[in-house]
Formats: sequence, C-alpha cells, structure tokens
Amino acid sequence: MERFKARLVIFGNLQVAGIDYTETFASVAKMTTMRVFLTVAAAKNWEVPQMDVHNAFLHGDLQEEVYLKLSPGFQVSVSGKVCKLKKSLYGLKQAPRCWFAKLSAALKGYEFQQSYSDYFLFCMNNGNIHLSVLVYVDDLIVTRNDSATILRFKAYLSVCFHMKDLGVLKYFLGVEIARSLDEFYLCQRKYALDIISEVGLLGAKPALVPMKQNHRLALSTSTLLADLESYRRLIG
Amino acid sequence: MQQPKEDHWHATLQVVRYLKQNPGQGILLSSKCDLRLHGWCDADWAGCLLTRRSLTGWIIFLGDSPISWKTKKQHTVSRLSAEAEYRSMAMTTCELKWLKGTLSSLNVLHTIPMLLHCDSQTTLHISHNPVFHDRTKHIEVDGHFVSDVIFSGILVPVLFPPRSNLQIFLPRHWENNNITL
Repeated sequence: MERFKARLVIFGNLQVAGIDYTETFASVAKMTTMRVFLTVAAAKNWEVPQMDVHNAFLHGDLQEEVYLKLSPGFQVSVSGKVCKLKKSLYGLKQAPRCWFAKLSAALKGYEFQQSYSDYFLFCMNNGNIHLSVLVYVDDLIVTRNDSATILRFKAYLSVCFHMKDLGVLKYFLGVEIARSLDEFYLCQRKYALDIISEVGLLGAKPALVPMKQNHRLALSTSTLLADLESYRRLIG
Repeated sequence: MQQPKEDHWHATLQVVRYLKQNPGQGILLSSKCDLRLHGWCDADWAGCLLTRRSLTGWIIFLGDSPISWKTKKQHTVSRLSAEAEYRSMAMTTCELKWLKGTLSSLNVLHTIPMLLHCDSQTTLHISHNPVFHDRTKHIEVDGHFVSDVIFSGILVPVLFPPRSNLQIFLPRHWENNNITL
C-alpha cells in the first residue's frame, strides 16, 4: 500500500443533458498511432520518456453552469446552500472533454501542431528540433531528437499542470514495452494472464487455434447461458 | 450478444485457451528499419457461411515492424472473387494513405512509393488498367480509388506468391497455421 486516497466524485448519472452538459465526446489515441510513434523512435534511436498528470480531470475548465449539493457531514451556518462548480470534477460527464481541451490548448501554446491523422498526436518541427507527444487521457509519451528540448518541455508542462515523471517508457495503454539497443518489444503478458486467471483456466490445456473453422455460432441451438455477466465481462 | 448460448461461452473460452499458449508473445519494432510502408492484403471470398459475404484481411509493416492489421467482413456480397479482392485492396489503400499522413506529422516524409502486395493477378490487372468495362462496373468506386492512388505514384501494387509466410495472418489460413515466422 503506497497511500490512502479520498476523492470528491460527482454523480454523473444525475446530470441533465442540455442543462448540466452539452458536448461530452472525447476520443482516445489509436494503438496503431502508438506503434508508428515507437517504430519511428526506434528507427531514429530517440529516447521515449513517459509522463503522467496528477488528478488530470480536476484541471479542466467548466463551460456549463453546474451546482453541487453539499456532501453529508459538511457543516454550514445557513441551510439550503449549494456549491457552484468552476472547474471540472471526477464523475462529471464532460470531465474528459474539458481535460483534453485544456491540455491541447497548453500544447498548442508551446507551438505544437495537432496532427490531422490522429488528434492525440502533437508534433513540433522547429528547424532541426523535432518533438512529438502522444496523449492518452492523462498519460503522455514524448520523443525528440535533442535532450535539452525535452527538459525545457517538461519544465513548461510542470508549470501548467502537476506532472509526474515516469522515466523511461515501460507500460502504456495496457501494453508492456521493453527496449534493448536495437528494438522495442511490445506484449500484453500481464493483461493476458489476468484474463486467463479470471476465468480459472490457468491449469487448462492450451488451444492451438483461436476458433474452429466453419462454425455456425449464430445459428446455435444450445441452451441459453445462465451467467450473462461473466460472459459479457470476458468479451469486453 | 443479447442472448448468448452455451456454445458462445465455450468458443470464448477457446480464445482464452489460445491466449494461454503463449501469453508473452508480442511484436518487435526494430531500429534497423527503412521506414517504408508495405501493405499485404487478401480476401476470403464468400468466407461467411451464413451471409456469403467475403472477408477482408490486411497487415501493414513499417520497415520490418508490424503496425496495423485487421480482418473484417465486407458490407456487400461479391459475386466475383476478384471483386472481394478489390474491395480488400481499396480498404488497405485507405489505411496506407492514413499511415502516410501520420508519418508526415512525425516529420517522416515517405517520398518513395508504398508497396501493396496482393495475391490476385486479376486484381492487379484491373488496378493497372484504367479502362473499365461492363464486368467491373459494379466495383467502380473501389476501382477508381485504387487506380488513382497508383497513378499518382504513391503506391505500387506487387504480386505475392501463394503460400508465402505472411499469408498466415490473412483470414483463410488460420486453421492450418503451422508456419513459423
């Protein structure tokens, strides 16, 4: 156990569309982009440090007017008072969107260009300095051709947000990343083992093929499954 | 999905047991890489037994590193196997063009043409021949799309021999994948 945490969270399910929130869409980076990013870093032999933002969703600025009932145990002299939110909180439907808007504004302020191919890829080409950042919610991976640039960039981000430097890239988007002199190796060993142990198949005989050929599963006439929940959890 | 049966559960468990065979298996992104895009595409004509729609399959390499792959059932029924191949070629071309864009954001300018490997001689002929006749009319959109990319010089289609190692990635070779890379 590293530490204890407490966090004030909003019941996002009580928010009313059009009043408490308008736009909530927030996408994430594609895995393919990550692989392209790492292949280029490997080919150019650039370092790939990783960073993480503390309490990312608390940084977002709220556009809508949202009120919060005081939490139980909070003493006020006059009853019937509520809080008006200025910044976003965890649990709000628009929190991820607010956070990404804030982060992309900060990156663009540092002369980054948002890629049209993947909106979560930010690149800066300034003469012979090249810096790229790939964002996944509150995780950032960076690559560059010059180490002074990266220090300046890290210093800039620390002014904007509360950053944590995670050092060399080891784990991103559920993928374990190992690097030797010549290559990156990407695998999902821990994730795969977690799935196998969850369904209790650690001792089972491995299968040679993932699926039988010429199956007709859509026409199956077998009995309905009783345990729907674990099936749905397993297929994601 | 709404009404899963026992059979579906067993099929899912088989996928998990397949994972168990080698959970630490992954991909290697090598530094000895010329950063050229190679696409390999194939189709399994009428591969879906219930709807007789075809499957598209592709894998794309950047240098020697695999970066993007997919198998997907096509939206329409193809009466010709060349038609299914052609649709798969068009989809792979889309992905290749997108990857080229992503690379240019990363300041890697892909000046040499990308290679698209395809195992159908017919499809290659159609893609090189801008004259369309009655038999290829119904795949006109995909046809024009691929031809345009080829004539603009950013893509070169190449024939790959049957039974090459890479075919194990492509849909119809799953059952007998005894080939090692």
